[in-house]
Amino acid sequence: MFDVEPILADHKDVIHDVVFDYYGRRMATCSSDQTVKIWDEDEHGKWKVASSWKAHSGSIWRVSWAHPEFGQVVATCSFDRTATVWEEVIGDKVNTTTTTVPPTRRWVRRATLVDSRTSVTDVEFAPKYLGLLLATASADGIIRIYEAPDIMNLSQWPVQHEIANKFPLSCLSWNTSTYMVSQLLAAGSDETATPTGKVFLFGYSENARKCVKMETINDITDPVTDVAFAPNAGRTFHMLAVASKDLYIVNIRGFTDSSGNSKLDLQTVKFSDHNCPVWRVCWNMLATMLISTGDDGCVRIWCINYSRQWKCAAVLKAEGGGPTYEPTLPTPSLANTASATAKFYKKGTIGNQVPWH
Amino acid sequence: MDIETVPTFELGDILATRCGNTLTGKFLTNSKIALIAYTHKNTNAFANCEQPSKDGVEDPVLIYIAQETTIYEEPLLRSLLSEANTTFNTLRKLGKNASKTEYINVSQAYRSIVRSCLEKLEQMKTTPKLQVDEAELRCSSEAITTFYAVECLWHLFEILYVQEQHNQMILAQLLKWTRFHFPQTEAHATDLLLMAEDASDRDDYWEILKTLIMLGEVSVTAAILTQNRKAGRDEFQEAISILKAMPVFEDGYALQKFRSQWEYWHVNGEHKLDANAFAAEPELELLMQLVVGKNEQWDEALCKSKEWYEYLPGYLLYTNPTCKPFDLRIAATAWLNRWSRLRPEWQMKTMSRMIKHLMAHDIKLFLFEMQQLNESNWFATHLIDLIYQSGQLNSYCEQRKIDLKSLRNSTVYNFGSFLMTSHKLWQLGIDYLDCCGEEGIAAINILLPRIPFKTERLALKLIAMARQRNLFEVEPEICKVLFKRSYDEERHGSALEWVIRSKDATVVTAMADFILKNYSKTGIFVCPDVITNIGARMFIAPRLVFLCKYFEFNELYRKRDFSSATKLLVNLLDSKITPSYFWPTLFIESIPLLESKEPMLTSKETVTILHHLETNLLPLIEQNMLETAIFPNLSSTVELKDYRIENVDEMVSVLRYACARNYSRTILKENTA
Repeated sequence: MFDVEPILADHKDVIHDVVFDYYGRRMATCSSDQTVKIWDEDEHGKWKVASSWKAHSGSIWRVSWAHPEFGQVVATCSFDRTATVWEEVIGDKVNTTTTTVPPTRRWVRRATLVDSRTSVTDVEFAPKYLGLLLATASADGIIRIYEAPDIMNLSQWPVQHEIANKFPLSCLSWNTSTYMVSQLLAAGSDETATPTGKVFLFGYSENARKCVKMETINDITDPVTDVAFAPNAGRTFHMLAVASKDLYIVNIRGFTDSSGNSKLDLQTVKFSDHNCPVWRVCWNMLATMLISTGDDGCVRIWCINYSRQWKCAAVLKAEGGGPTYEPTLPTPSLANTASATAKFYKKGTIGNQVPWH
Repeated sequence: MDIETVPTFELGDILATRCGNTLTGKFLTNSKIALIAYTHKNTNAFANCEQPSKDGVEDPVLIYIAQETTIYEEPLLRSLLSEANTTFNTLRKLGKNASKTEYINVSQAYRSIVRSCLEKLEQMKTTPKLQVDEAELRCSSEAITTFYAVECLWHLFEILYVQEQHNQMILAQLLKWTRFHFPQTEAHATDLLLMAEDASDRDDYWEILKTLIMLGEVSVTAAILTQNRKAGRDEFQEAISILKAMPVFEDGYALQKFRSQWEYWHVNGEHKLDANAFAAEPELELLMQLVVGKNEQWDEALCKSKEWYEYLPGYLLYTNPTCKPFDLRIAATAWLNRWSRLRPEWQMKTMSRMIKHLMAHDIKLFLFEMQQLNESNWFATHLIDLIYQSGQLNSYCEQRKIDLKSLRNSTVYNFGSFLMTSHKLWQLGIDYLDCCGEEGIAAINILLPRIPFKTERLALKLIAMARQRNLFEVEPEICKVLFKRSYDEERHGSALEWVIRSKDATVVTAMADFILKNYSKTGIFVCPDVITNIGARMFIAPRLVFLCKYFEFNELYRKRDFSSATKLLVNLLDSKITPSYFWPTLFIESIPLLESKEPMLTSKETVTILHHLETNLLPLIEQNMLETAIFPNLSSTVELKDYRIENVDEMVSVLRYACARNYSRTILKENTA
């Protein structure tokens, strides 16, 4: 069973991305109405808008939070062909007589990255071990990796790597784990005409001293709309979720071949439960659950069970008769005790339990 | 095993329904999910056209934060969690080689935690606050229901699978169990006893006695009957004597002897009935028919009972008093069939089903259903852990191909990560993750730095916990977050402390740069106290070494210890760790020393200064000029500024002049001496 709290977003158009900060206490939303909103969760668990501003002159597709050790920094990317880095700054201190008033905070534009000549479809900060880096993917098929060399001054973002691909790119994802392979980055294309692999894996090559394409996942030839690397809690391989015609989980093993080059071993698993295209994927913090968004109007929640199999544990539907969040399951009643007005819920299966098969 | 259908929930979002019926979800750091309406836009479709949507949408745009219902918001249940955590740790310490009694103690400890929590919840329900707060009342009622069931099931599990019964005689325990969980009758019996003779007039007198008999309360029934007005009559005397004569199995009895005694007693009872000994008192006769286990009468009485298992132990007492777990399996199934036949409209509820699984030795199904309860797997986690540690069901699990170890690890891991990502509960969660091997530690490594910390005290606690587990990445990370926070709030001393503690050379350099640049601009060190106390920690980064040494020079100069100051300054010039932006400041410091009345610098040292001026500062100035000429707006050039000068070129000429003067006077002096 779920408790659902609706929040009026006050965006004037559909939201394209909702992203939470490192602690899950702040939320960034971006929309076709060209605005970005930053939300804070208060002590009672209520979400309030802290800032809202017009960030681009086109739909904003994605937003990404930097690690908090770099401060409060987000990056956005838009149809207006730019990606922008924003930083929250503390406003001028209010005079000392009213010390109880917290200083005002506002978001300022630190840098606009204008290298793309087409819509910038995805932006993501790199894992923090690489420093303050961000990658963008754009419709012209180019992945650009920018770096802020001075973490105290975020106005400079020189391009560090530029990798051109044949296909327009729709999404990218950094691998946060460095087990056997470093700087792994995945990108997907939603190009429809060519029946070739649509997910590409890039890595840093010591020999070439730059980021190069390491692998194309040839098992997935349908258009890809989202990719997401799973957080790695002690696994010896990496997992990449891919939203395409179906949901895929690609297990990636890094190894070093006889000539000392790092190579990738791929194993693709397909899940056809949606029975229609999948648009988005999202992992939970420990990669024990996965959300997939399908064109069937369903959000599916997948759990890994104790024998390491992925099972769909719950389905959330867009349609329905409004906020009646009680499941349709009968609520069985329990043996009566002296006191109990006994009801014994069989809960809708989502959460920390492992479906047991 | 039957495949369960996936539960489906409906949100009913107007916007999502209108725009292609699509919804997307994102996980928060905890088990919450944010849901929004979603429209898909293909990269190619919008590559060439204008804005994909022009006027926005009419429907309200909503974000839904969905959270799996949890009952642990209630403070009383939090204490249940923390007490259970203690017991869990006790069991962890016991490990797999403890004695049976110790495992029983643990099992009972868990149950008593639940019991006392239930009592507190019951008490709370009667408080005035809850009488008005409907939501909270519902929440606590739900918790009572759930944990009542948990206790009941755990109790039965303990009787059947944890305790080792003497001769496997479980009936006495089972009777206790039913009496415990159907306590009204006992309360009624007390009333009757207190009313003594008057009780006989009560309308429900015989009903209560019947229930008592069916729950196996033989001696209490006998006691009540002796108080009856008609107790003196033969029928009553006979009944009382039969009840009192009932053999009860006790430890040390020889089973065979007990059986034959019991058989004798049973046959005797039947004879009396056949001889119509109780015919004058039909109610009493019915009671005695139940006692000898007459099916007709039991069937009739069963129709009024509430749960299928309520009178099973009682029935066994009068029909099969030496029932063993293996017999119970058959008896329970037969009993359930009988019950279903008598009550065709009756539907099996979750708890009844789980009790059946336990009695029928269907542990696999029991474990499965246990994980579907709505208490975030508190029950499953702790019971499975107990099963795993005690090893009681090892052979069963092997037989049924249950990988008990992975099952246990996975439930403990999931429960631990649930707690650790829950607000206020994370400290309890860490203990569970601690015993999930490498994966558990890796999970702590991911989750620990994500605990939102407002205070430095909490931060230090997190750091200490990470250290205990040799998670070396956590400390620098937390330190850098604190550094950034302090820096943004212009608490520079604290920022410097934290950044040094992080031991991250890049960030330390950035902070040292900030302090040095700020000094060049203003002539003020932002946090002199902290710099004074850096000591040996300065070797994290050359820039920090430079900062400390330069600060030391400043102090010496302030204390007018010019000779030491001079030596240090020359050392710094020669050190190769001077940041380029700082050259002007460093040279300016040398001017008063060169110009002092008494020469401070030797001719050799003066040459050194000149040498660095020519080889370090001048190329920088030239390069700056060149770059400004080509890219007038480029800001990447090194800023060469000091609060004491307006223009670097001017300083260069002053310095050259000062050097020349000092060189001439010192070389003379040195060569004449």
